[in-house]
Amino acid sequence: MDIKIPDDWLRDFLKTKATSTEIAKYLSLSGPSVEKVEESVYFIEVTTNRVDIASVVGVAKEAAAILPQFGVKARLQPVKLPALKFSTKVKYLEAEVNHNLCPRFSAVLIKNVQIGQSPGWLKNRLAAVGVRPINNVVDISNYVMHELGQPVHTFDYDKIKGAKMILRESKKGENLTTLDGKTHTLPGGDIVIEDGAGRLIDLAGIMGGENSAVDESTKNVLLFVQTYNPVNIRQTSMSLAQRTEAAVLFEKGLDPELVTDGIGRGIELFVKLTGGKAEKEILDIYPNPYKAKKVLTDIDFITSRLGTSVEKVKITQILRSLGFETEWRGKILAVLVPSFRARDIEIPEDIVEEIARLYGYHNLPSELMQGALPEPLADAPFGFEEKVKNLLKGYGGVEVYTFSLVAFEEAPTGLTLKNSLGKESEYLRTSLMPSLLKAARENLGEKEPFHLFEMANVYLPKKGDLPNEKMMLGGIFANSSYREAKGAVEGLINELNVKSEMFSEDAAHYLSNRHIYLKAKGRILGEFGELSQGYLYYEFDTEALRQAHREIESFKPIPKYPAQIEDMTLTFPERTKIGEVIGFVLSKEKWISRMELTDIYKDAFGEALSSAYTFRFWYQHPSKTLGNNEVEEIRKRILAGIKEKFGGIAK
Amino acid sequence: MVHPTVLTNGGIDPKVYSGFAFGWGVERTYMMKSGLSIPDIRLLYSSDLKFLRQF
Repeated sequence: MDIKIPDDWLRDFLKTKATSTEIAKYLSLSGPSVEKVEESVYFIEVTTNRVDIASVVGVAKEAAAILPQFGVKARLQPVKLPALKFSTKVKYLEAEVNHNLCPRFSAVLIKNVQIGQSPGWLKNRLAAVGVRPINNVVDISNYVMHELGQPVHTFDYDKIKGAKMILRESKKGENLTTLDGKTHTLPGGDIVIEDGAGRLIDLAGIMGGENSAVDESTKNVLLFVQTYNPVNIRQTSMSLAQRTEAAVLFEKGLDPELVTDGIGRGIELFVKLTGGKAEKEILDIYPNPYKAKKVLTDIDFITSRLGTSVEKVKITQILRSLGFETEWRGKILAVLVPSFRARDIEIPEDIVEEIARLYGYHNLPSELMQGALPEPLADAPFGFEEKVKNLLKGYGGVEVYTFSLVAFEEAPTGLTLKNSLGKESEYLRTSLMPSLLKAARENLGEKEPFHLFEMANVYLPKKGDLPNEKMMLGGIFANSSYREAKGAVEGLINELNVKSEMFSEDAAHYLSNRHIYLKAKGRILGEFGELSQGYLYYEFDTEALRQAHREIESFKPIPKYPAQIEDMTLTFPERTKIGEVIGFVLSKEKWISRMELTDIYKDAFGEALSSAYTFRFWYQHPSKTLGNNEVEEIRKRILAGIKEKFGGIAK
Repeated sequence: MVHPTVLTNGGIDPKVYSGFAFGWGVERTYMMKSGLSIPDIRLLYSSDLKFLRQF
């Protein structure tokens, strides 16, 4: 989770001359990552196992332990609490608590509260952490939560009928209206509080009930600080989509000892800022107080895991600075885990981690691996994939990354996510075409030709099995002609030394008569064609392409005798496939070593649109220079053949 | 430290082998390249040619 910690608030508890830059740097090296410092606020990433850091005091504790390791003096200024008196029974509230759901239940009545605006310093700090100030009562709850990492709730005491609370599991179908006005039908298994009149007044750990909320007319407040079972909180929060700040903390499992600080600080602020008077006895139902967990390890284990020897004195100093208690017996080290690390520290490796991170991972010695080189991955496609991308870039292509999850219209036969983030990302795509079309459309402002390509997996559903994850290469051309686009694709094929045939066949999504398949050895490698709105698109099965390509082309002996080269211009009926004309000539004439289309002249005058195509022919014989008569013969045959088969006429 | 259960699940005996675990996202690592100065990581997934053409 990400948290914001204002520098000035941090320095209430962290006494140091270190600059905020130094604090950010050293914390990141040995503790929580500081993403950035902006306007004197640290943006910190707290990993789920370290919810003890998700607060101003939590960060201060880490910093106080870490900074000295870098030679920077730092000291923790602990939270100052007023004198507190706890009791398992109080006159002002009767509570029946399910200890499994709520390991620690504490509450105190604060009388004659004056609801009003919070002082400026408090409002400023709340604003700095992204919380909107409302009134002093609400603000104090939020302030304590951010300062200590302990959520705090407040009830209008007089709305709790019978001054009685039953903390229990909800039954499926029970209704509860939370203070944001939303009415929830509970799935069951949620932690709820029922008052003396049988009403549900709190969705515990997540949000208070509307019927018990503090408002302008509230006179007496019940300050309420608990520890909840993280499993129930998580389940409820996710299923009702109520991701409140309190839920996000409780679901990670908080330290029950923190309740003491929470209620103490709460009382102090209430008395100071609302003029309220707190009852002398705090109700505290805490049947199983924390008993220090012990983890055993030894110096040899630590040394072997770290790869270097760290003196016992140093180990002790590090662990103690983090709140652990240590006891050495010869080589054996017994570590007592403080309550706020109880859920995180379990095994000897966890102890080694604490030593390593404070000693500094950057201080551990490095050694290059020794031994025989491992066998490379057999038949990896990565080199080929990179080659294809570089070739396409050479042909003017620009690589793009689009998303694998798309909307229904873009992958109607695709697999769906059970819990998608929205309709736009519900389906696993089965083709790159819709994504690349979308990408092309995002560039409608471009008037120049462009070519976008992507190589990514598509997910083809398989009955009763995981989908076939197939690597595909897709590309789209805009503001280009059919020929230019096809030329780039042909260029790629040629560079890969793929021997393929192109044959035209209509296909879905493509304009009629403007689509070809590419085949090699009977296997379809891919396709190319024109979509509506003038886009040209290609898609290849990358693996099929890889199988069909050759790294090295066999050498062809260089002809000893020069070729005769001549150009001829022909006109054809409309819709003649020029590729087929060239293919026809090359397949029939042994001594035509090459035939290229070099020019197209389009004449738009008159009714009919006629086009003249100029071809260049290379007449070549391996053992002699062809004479003019021989060339003439071949030429006649070519023209006759073209006329008969395609209706093409020489100009 | 790699958790020993992770090693066991991977078919490696944690009594014989141990490890340090670290991970960095491809995108973040790229963002770290000196001189790049891309302000927003989401740009890497943009389809806008005005961005793509620069690279």
